[in-house]
Amino acid sequence: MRGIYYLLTRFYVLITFVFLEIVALTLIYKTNSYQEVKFLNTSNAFAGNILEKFNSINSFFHLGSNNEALQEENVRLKNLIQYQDSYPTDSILPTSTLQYRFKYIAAKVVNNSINKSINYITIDKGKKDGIVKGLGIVSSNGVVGIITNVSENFSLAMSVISVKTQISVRHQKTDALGNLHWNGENPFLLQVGGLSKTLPIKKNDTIVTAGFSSLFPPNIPVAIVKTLEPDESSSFYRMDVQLTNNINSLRYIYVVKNERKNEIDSLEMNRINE
Amino acid sequence: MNNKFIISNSIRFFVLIALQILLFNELPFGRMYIMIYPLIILLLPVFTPRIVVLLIAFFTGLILDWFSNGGGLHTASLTAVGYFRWHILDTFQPRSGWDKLDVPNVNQQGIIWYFYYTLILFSIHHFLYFFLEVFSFANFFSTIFKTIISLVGSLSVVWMISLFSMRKKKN
Repeated sequence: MRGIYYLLTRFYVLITFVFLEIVALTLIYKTNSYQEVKFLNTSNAFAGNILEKFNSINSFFHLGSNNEALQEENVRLKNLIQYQDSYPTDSILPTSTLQYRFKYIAAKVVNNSINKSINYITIDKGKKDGIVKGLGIVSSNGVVGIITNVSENFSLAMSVISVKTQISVRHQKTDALGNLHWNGENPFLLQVGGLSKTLPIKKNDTIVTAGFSSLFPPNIPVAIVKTLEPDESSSFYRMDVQLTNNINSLRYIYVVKNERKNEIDSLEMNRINE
Repeated sequence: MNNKFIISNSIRFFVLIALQILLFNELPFGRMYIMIYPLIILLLPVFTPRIVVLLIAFFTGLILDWFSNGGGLHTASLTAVGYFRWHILDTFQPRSGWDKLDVPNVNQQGIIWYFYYTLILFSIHHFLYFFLEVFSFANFFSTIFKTIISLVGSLSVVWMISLFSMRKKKN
């Protein structure tokens, strides 16, 4: 008994240290093994509100560039409307049936980072606005991430610049399927795997969303091929791509809500169960 | 005297956490992640009880994890800084030993001493942070590279801050 008492008085700092480290390592382990931040995170009302207050001051200084970005998007959408109007009224747009399933919810970025191996984006819309876990996020010119945590007024999304995110994509010219992921090194270069060496892929080709997952609408530009070399140990290309949107300077984004997601998911679940 | 220490340390605590969360977390440098908040622990008075230093480190880490979605990374690495701080202070103590009111800052201990002190403890912190982030020794060299450039960034900012605080003392 006296021995234990002696040990406690002698080594209580070390014992506390080991205990606290075990707590911290458990936290890390838990976040590593789930697709979300389990404990404290910025979708929480307290943290969210503080970051939002600061962000509202900060966004004041970016009004000019935000306006420009929104105007560019307007121009692009206006051109698109013209283009669609020019179709004869009796012809059917091949993509229209696909695209009307998707509904967009506009949101503002409250907090954002690119300097970790799993990066999160906090947005100012939550459960109240109809956002649920697992929805995709796009910006005016690319893919941003996937919602992982939702609170009443805020939600948290895992950005595409995360080692845990995988998005199915398509090489625009050849329609070949691949998957977009990140190796955790340079946040300005992501990787695309699964594209066969036999395909005629060139530098500066566009990678778009595949549209197979119920997260993103098809044919949204995602990235541009930057470097490209055949992988000698497999039948695929090794490819570095650059995202079409600048994740770090994002201010406004759209949450994509797929009206038929539940239907698709339950259908796929049935198929697996059979 | 005690009150003065508590007030100045609390102010430093809030300023450094605010700077870290609102400014340095959002810098678009990519691989370089500037972390200056270990300075909160480094600049506590020498005779702060070790257990108190450890607990301050732990809770500061939790606050940072909370506001930057770190999921425990800041907590684990900062708690280690809180623990090893005493060992570094013990090894690098002045010839006459530590005095009751000593603070391990650049004004009292001199530039060279402060250089080594911050270098060692920030290295421990950054090394732990980046290796726990990948949770393995795979991609060892790319993680080391990340650690080193982040260390250079963080220490540059830290030394800049202490240079400013030095000038203030002289005036």
